[in-house]
Amino acid sequence: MCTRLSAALLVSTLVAALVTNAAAQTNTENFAQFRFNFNNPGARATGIGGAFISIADDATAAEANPAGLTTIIRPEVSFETKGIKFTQKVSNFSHTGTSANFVLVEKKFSRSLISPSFGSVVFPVRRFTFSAFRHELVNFESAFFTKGSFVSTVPPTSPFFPASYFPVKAENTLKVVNWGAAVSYKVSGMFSLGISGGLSTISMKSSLSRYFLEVFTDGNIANVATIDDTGTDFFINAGVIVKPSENFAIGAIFKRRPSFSLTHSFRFTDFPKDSTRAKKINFNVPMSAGIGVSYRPLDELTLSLDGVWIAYSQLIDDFVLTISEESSRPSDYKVDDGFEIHGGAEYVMFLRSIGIVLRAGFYTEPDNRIRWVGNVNDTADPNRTFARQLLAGLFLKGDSYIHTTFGLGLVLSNSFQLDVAGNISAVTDELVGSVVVRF
Amino acid sequence: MNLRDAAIALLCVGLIGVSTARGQSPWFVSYEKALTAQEEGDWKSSIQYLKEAIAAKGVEKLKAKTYGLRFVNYLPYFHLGLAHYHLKDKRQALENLDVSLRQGAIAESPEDLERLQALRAELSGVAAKQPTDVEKRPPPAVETPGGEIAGGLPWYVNYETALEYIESGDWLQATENLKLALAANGIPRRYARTYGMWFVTYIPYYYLGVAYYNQGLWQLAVRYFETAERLGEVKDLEPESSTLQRMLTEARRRNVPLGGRAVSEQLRETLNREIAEAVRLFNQQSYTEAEAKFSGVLQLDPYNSVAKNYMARIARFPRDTAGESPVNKDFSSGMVQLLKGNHERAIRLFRAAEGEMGQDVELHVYLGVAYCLRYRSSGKKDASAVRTAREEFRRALAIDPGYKLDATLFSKDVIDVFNTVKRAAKK
Repeated sequence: MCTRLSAALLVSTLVAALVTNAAAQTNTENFAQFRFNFNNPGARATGIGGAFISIADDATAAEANPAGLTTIIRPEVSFETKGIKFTQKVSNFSHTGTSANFVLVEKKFSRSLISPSFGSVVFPVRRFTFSAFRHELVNFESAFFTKGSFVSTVPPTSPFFPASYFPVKAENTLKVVNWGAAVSYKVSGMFSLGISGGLSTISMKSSLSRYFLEVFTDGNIANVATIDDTGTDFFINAGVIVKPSENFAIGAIFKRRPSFSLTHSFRFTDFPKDSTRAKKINFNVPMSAGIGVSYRPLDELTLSLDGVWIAYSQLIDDFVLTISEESSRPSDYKVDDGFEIHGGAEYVMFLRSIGIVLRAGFYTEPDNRIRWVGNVNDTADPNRTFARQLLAGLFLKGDSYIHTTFGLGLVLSNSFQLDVAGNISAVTDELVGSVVVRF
Repeated sequence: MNLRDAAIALLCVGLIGVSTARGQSPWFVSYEKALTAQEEGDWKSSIQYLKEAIAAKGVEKLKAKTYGLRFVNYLPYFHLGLAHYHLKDKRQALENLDVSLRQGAIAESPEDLERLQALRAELSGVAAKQPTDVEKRPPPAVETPGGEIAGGLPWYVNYETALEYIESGDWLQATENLKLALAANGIPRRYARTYGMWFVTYIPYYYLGVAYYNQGLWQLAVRYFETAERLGEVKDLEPESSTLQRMLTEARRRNVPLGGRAVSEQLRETLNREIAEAVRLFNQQSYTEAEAKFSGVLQLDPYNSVAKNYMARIARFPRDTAGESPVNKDFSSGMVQLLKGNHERAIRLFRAAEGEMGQDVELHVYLGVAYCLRYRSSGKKDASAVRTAREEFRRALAIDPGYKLDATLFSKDVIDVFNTVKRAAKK
């Protein structure tokens, strides 16, 4: 009983859910679920797999690549609404079998939201083009619970075997919004520069409660990790587009994204007594850089390919240990930078005077989950070894995903464009609608 | 794929793309430019374009597919021969005509074959049976479309600007912008892509025809309308198709060759001279002669407001009221001075006419124009002159808010001042 209790106490500071796609700035597990949406705004861009760096020729360019704004010769406004369904796989939701021979049961949780995700206005003035925009860089929601399973990474030879997780209940909402302005300049017929920047705001509400029993009442709470905070920072995007000819373009973009300081609270209800401690943590949205090429063999057909490097390693800059602080170090955790490939095609045909646009594309989403890289056996202390075994089992390497995208556009007149697009993957489904109006 | 591999792959894609992009235009683009150049008598440029076309496609063919469902009789060697013929390069002309004959495609086009044989006969020292169509053509009249994109602007910027000028009736500016658009993009399209998802009906030859027609340049209008017809630019478009037919018929009827390359400036000078003379005749009360002169002006420029107004006054004026003038004499004399460029005299005469004429829209307009000229002659230092000009334009527009300043008579800076006042007045 004593062994089980010790194990439970240790595990109580650890994880309940093995989830995909970490985006943590601490080693609190629900942090590890936040998902960024770095795809370029607009259903047109979504439809072609987000490969828009070198195209960027409508009002969404303020975010995608501000250099592309110089293409626009008349004022434009754009507006995008997005419906997103997040699917979250909890791999140790519960277990079946005996303690000696158990099998983990996984469960998927989904959460959907609809949000006006992008809006912009664009004004060309001679060789300059100006824009103001609002972009939801991150809009994420999740909610899940677990029943408390055995911990599969603790070997039967361990004095702590079988250790079990506490049942948990968690709920998270995170929104990062960029409010920005952009200016671009046409240096020559084939060369344009652009820069955008502004204020980023964050609003995060996250709570994860661990329970002694699978009865989710306040009296059963063992501990609670909470973030309920807001913050601000600045962001900057800088881009360039080179057009050696009218049907071929090369674009490049760098995005310095915001970093926020937030307060993370951890409340123990029973050990050694009801107490709360708070820590300041940094929430870094990773910067990125990309290069893209597009080619238009026909007026009706556009092909585009982007490569985007994302500095996911920034997620563990200033990494704060909020659990098992004595048993692990920040250097025990790692995230690799990611390289995404985006590709797509767009084909236009006309029905009378209405342009009908078909789009298809894809993009890769590399594993950006924080993983354990420390040595679990670097200590003679069995409790510490046990804790490190648990952390090693918790912070496993994640999966990479391929997103398939498709879209339909209607150019209803020479000044009104309506687009819808879908984005399907194992972890995220999106339906995006956008309009572009030209004056 | 790691970062390095991906970067290398992207670089390769980029290099391939760049090399493709730097390649030659499709053969039909060069060929179309060559034909346009030849139509306008720019034989040197046409040779360059034809060589580009031949480099991409060296075999002549009738009804060769270009893009979409468009076909063209592709006879580059024949046209090369034609160009060298006009440049007096007998050897090159014969060589190329012979290549065309050897390839055989031209044999299926009796009209072209006849022209080729006539040229060969002349070059070989045998008198031609009939003068060819080419020889009948008048000398070149306009600058060749082709070459650099002015100001680094893509074709659609100039094209959309031209459409705005057409809408406002500024045919000269429309012409300039259309020519720039055509220089950058010689292929008309029903749905031509501009940027983003915006498409435009790109029919530059038709609009050039319209612009020249409205400037009274019948010969050029005929040429561009015929090119528009040949390319099927407005085949299924209404009302453009019927407008083209109507204007083409009228332009052919009125076709009076003007010649020279700087047509716009020449036309302006001609009109000014003719109007000044007509007004002088009018002031001498030689109304019949003046009417004939103004009528001549309207043949050159059917929308000429000065000529129209004088014609209207003459028509209204009872011919039996001998000794009286339908227009204030000071005003008429001022007009003559203004058209001759003597703006200070014109101002004095217009001011003298003010007492009798009172609130007259044209008096205020031409006073404004005269003050604009004073402003210009002061090196744009005399701010009071431009202020007065604006005030006079405001007065004119208060009487007739829809008044348009004649673009064929006055230079752009004068028209700009007027249009600025007009826009402000509208607000």
